[in-house]
Amino acid sequence: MQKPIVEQSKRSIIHATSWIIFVLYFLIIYGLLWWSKIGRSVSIYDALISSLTITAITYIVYSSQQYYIPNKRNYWKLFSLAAIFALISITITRFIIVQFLPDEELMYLNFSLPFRFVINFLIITCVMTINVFWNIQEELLSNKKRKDESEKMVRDAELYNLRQQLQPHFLFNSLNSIIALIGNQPKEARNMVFQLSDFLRGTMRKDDKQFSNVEEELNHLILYLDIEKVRFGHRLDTEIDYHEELLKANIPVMILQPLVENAIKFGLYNVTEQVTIKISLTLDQQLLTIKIYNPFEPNQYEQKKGTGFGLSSIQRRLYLLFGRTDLLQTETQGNIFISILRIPQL
Amino acid sequence: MIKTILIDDEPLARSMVLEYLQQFPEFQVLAECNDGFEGVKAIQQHQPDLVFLDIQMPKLTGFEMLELLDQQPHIIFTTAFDEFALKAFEKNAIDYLLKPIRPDRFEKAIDKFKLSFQSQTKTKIDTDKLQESLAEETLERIVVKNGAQIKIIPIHQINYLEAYDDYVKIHTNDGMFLKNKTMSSFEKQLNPKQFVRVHRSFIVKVDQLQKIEPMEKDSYIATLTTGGKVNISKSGYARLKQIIGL
Repeated sequence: MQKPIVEQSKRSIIHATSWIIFVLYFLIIYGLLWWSKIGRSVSIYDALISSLTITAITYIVYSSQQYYIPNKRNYWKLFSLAAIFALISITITRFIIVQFLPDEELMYLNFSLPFRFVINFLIITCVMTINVFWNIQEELLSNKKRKDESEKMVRDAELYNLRQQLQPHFLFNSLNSIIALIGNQPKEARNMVFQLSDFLRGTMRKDDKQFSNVEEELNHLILYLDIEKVRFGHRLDTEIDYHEELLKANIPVMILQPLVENAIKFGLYNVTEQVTIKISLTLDQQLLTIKIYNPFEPNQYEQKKGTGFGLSSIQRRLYLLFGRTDLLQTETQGNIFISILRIPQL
Repeated sequence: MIKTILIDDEPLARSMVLEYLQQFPEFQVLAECNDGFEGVKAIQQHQPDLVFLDIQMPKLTGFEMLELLDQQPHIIFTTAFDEFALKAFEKNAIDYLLKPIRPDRFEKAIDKFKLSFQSQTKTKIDTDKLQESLAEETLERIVVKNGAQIKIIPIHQINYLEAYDDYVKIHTNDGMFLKNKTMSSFEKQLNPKQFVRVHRSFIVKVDQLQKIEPMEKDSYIATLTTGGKVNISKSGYARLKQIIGL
């Protein structure tokens, strides 16, 4: 939709420069002839004819090079083209003037041809340069637009996919636990079905928005943790530490839960004893910081730079949302692994 | 009486199998284990006839645990894996129960087990083949038995691998370990950008290479940063060239 506007402003630039050139050229030639004491009857015609010719030539230059962008090595072509155009303009001017004026008055004309050539050459070079710059600008603009568009497309698709990873493993294991509970502890089983359906509803509801508040995300997380606790029994323990004030802070949807999920996997699958997952949230100067602590076996894992398994997709999502790569970091303290998530409050 | 062991990190999942097994009084559950370590211990202690084994477990996965056993009992995997993974199980003729486990499906698995148990046919699960067809991500660690101990070697600690009869010598900074596995399966499972099969008997970690000298016609010898020496064949040299762009 932007194209017509660009084209329109290009056309007006062509008209404006052409007619400014016409007026200035007329005045300069007329002035120079007057200075050289050429008769007014001759100089008026001369100035008019030469400025009309140069204006016509600029129009030709503009229209013939509408989308032309020379390569780096081809700039000499531009100059020789300008020279040719200058030569043509001089020839035409002289041809027309000769038709109008008596020969005896034209002594000065041949004498002035080299000067006219140089002036025309410079003007045409200027016009061509402006034209090329304009074309380059236009190309950059459309390139950028295309790039933005494709990036947006990729972004949408990616966000969609990331969100779709609904962890079938989690779902089926939970269903298995429920089936196991139905026989002996029907009340517990019923409770877990409620939790699971609340959790699933929460996951689906969030499909259309990118951001939510901490309160909603924490509630969702607690549902998830409750289900995991039923699955893993006494082995899993959680602590959540936060201040009431930050419950209204913004947070991208479905970013906390996969992170905690990762911590649980990391913790439960590497430590056989009881596992405590600690989550602490703080809000400081427009920056929400969430730290997730889980135990792990330090010597079993490569201290990869940045993030471990499972965190890269979260990292990617944060980048797409905030354009920053430093929002998710990890560190270790002894046998405690800490994931640190920072959410700028926009 | 059939000696049975349950290995699963979720107590409820174990209780489910336990409940189903009550219909079959000839099965006696000798142990319930939370993870692969307990599993290895219990299997060595009880020499069970049948093991119900989960795959995703703490410390050792079900597959890694199997690799550590000298003698495999009959295994029925219990897993929440997806359809895709199930194809791998079927292709390798392995018994599995999909969570949530259906009673009729459970009975079928028990029937199948009884058949092979009575006919004394021992089926050994080829974990290499299974993992290959599971198309799992590249290997991240290797589990070996070091005497009575179980040692987990993260892949980044490996310097190079050397063929040694039916075994592979795994050279690390902590010393050398033996693993009953083939070179070609290692070659397939290790990250090809990090590890190159430079010789019939050697797989080397690329960033460990210090210098390469010609030895004979078409063969080379490489010195590693840790001091070890590794032979490089003509085709191995070509592969190496591709990776590090000599």
